Amino acid sequence: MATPAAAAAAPAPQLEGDIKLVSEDAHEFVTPKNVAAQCKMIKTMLEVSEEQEFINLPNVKGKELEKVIEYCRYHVQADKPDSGVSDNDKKTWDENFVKVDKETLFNLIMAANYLDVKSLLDLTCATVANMLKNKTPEEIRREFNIKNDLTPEEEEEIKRESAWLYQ
Amino acid sequence: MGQRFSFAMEDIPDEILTLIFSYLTPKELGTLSCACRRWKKLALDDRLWFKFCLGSLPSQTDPTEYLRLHNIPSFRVFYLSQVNFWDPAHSAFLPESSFSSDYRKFTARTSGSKASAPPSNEVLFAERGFLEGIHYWEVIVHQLKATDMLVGVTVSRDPAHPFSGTPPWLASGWVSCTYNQTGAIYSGPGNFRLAAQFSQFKTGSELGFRLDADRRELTIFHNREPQVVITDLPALSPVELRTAIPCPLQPPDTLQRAHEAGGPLPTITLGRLILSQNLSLKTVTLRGPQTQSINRVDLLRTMDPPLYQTIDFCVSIVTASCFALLFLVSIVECVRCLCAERHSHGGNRPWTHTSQVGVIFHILLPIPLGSRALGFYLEPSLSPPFSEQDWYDILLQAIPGYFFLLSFGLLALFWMLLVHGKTLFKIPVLLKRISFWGSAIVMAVALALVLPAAFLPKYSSVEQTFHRIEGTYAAAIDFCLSVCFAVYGGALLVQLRPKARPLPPPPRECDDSPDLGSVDGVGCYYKGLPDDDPTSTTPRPSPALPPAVDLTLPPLLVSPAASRVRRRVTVQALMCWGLFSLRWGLLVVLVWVPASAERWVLTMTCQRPAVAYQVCRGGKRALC
Repeated sequence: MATPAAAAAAPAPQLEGDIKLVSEDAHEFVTPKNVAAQCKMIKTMLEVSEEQEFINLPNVKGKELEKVIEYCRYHVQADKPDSGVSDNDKKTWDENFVKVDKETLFNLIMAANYLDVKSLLDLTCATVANMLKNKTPEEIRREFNIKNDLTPEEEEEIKRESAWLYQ
Repeated sequence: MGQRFSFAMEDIPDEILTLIFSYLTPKELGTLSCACRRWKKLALDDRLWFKFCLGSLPSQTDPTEYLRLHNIPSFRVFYLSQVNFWDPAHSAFLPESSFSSDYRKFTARTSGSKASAPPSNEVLFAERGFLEGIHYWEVIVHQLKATDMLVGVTVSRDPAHPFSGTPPWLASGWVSCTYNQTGAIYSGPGNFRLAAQFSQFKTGSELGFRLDADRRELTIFHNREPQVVITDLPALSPVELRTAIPCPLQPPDTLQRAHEAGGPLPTITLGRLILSQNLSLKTVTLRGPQTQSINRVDLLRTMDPPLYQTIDFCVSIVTASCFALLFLVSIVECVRCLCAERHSHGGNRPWTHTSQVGVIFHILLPIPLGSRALGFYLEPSLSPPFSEQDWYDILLQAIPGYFFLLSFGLLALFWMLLVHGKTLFKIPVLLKRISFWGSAIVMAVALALVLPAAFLPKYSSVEQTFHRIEGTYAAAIDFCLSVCFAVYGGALLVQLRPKARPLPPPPRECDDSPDLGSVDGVGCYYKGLPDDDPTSTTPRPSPALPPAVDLTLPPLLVSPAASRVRRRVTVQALMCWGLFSLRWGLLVVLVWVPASAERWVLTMTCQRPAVAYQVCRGGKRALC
């Protein structure tokens, strides 16, 4: 019944105080609600029931959740009109933010996907995409721990189709 | 617990990978597709390739629809075809059906010649040339080293003529690159002369060639700026003008073997050449006064949609049967008419039968033709709001169907008046006159509608001209026929309603009158002509017949009036035949044959798309 209209009108004043986020491995993070609301998924939950004290996030581990909260916190601060943070600064911060090992990066992607943080998802996906650039298939397999399940014939066919790749 | 999120690609859902892949270029996607089966599937996902095609797809067409019309299976294929279709390495991979008219223009094939070509063959010619029409194509140079390339148009493709001497292939316009980023345009025939020069010829330059094969003019563009118009293209009709780019036409492995055998290694090999020079080729529509879009999509749409195709086929069959029936009727009547003297005492039944068949035919004929018109509205692509092309289709094809329906209405009116208008007997005669002139006016109006449509500056290719001609003349002939049929049918109806005739015998002598009446009863529409004297048909001596019998065939007597009428009837019957034959003959000659031939050619030529253009590192040297 608290239909979208009500939900849309409500959030701005509602997002005060803190909320406790509980990760899969039982780490607890107390964050301001407006930071947590950067995650659309949490925002939706907050809008549905305002009185919650904690939210269980069974698909996110503490390490990633911490990173996500760090990201959200920074962007809440930086996106304020009077923050004085330039776009370049944000970009640099983002670049440094994703300088993590591949496992964390992929877990971040999963977490961003689960928590529905679009900007973080874009950032992490673009990072992975950058890693894939300018590499041979063999290098990609090695780096991303992929097992080659293509038969030699299939491989030959792809190579023939994609001959224009090999200049 | 930590294991669950350990780094394993299998854990990453497809959507995430697709999202990651969406940041990559076609080339990188190609690399990824070689990594593993799952990645291959994802990297070849058409959603990823769609965005690469956006620049190449015609903006006014729905992309999916465009692919469907051109039988291109996916956006990926489309993209690759745009970038690489001249590359023999992809020829097997590009489906033949992805060839649009644009492809056809540039399709060349090394076909067999790849293996059998004599080593001296250093020029690669397009397999098909241009006999007529205006064609434009572009060659974009992605990498350019001085004197590397030579692109042009020629009239010959004789492999026996290498670069040296006075090669006949050098009989046209060529663009070459000289030093200092200067492009040189040469032209022939005979003396190889410098026609123009232009600067800033460098990597990224777009060379455009606009070939007007009808006027034998070649305009060469550089970055869309016209540089020179070469008008002295050889008028060696019907020798086709071909695009050609000199290159060593030897497969790489041959060159490699030659090298291993100690022979000189040519500077470039075929495969490498394409890739290293990275030429791309595409066709565009020129803007401004040069514009001549060749809109094959329109042509295909009128030919290909399955629904319309099916309807049209069924209607054609029914219509053809009707025509065949009427044809037979006409023959029978004509023969009977010609033999009237000898059959002077023949029974009246055949007359009646043929006339009845004629009436039935006339009542049935508008049905298939009307349904043909309906078919146009059933066809999904022809729905409001109509584009110019839709109106063109409707004008040319659907409206004739409606005019047939109109003539059907006239027939019904006739019938009604004849059944119920005994007291107003004079009306049919009046009506015949009205309908005749009315039909003539209708026909004129319809032609006035249709003929301008035929001159829309739509089409330029041969097939389209055929299509246009057929569209125009089929429509015109349809109108003629519909009018003829309407009046003819009306006259038949009058003949079949003897009761409706004025019974008092005319003041004329008995000798002529039965003749006239019966011969006219052959049922030719001409009876309806305004100059037809109704009184001449009225006398009918039928003492031996019960009044209910429709017609008799009284003795035909040789009298001037009788032979005149007989001649007239014969001419009219022959006119009917002539119209049928003309219409169907035109259809067959102008549409069915070219259409099947075109499809056949398409099928044949598209099976192995192959190299169209190459670049020759030694081109300049060889020219000198």
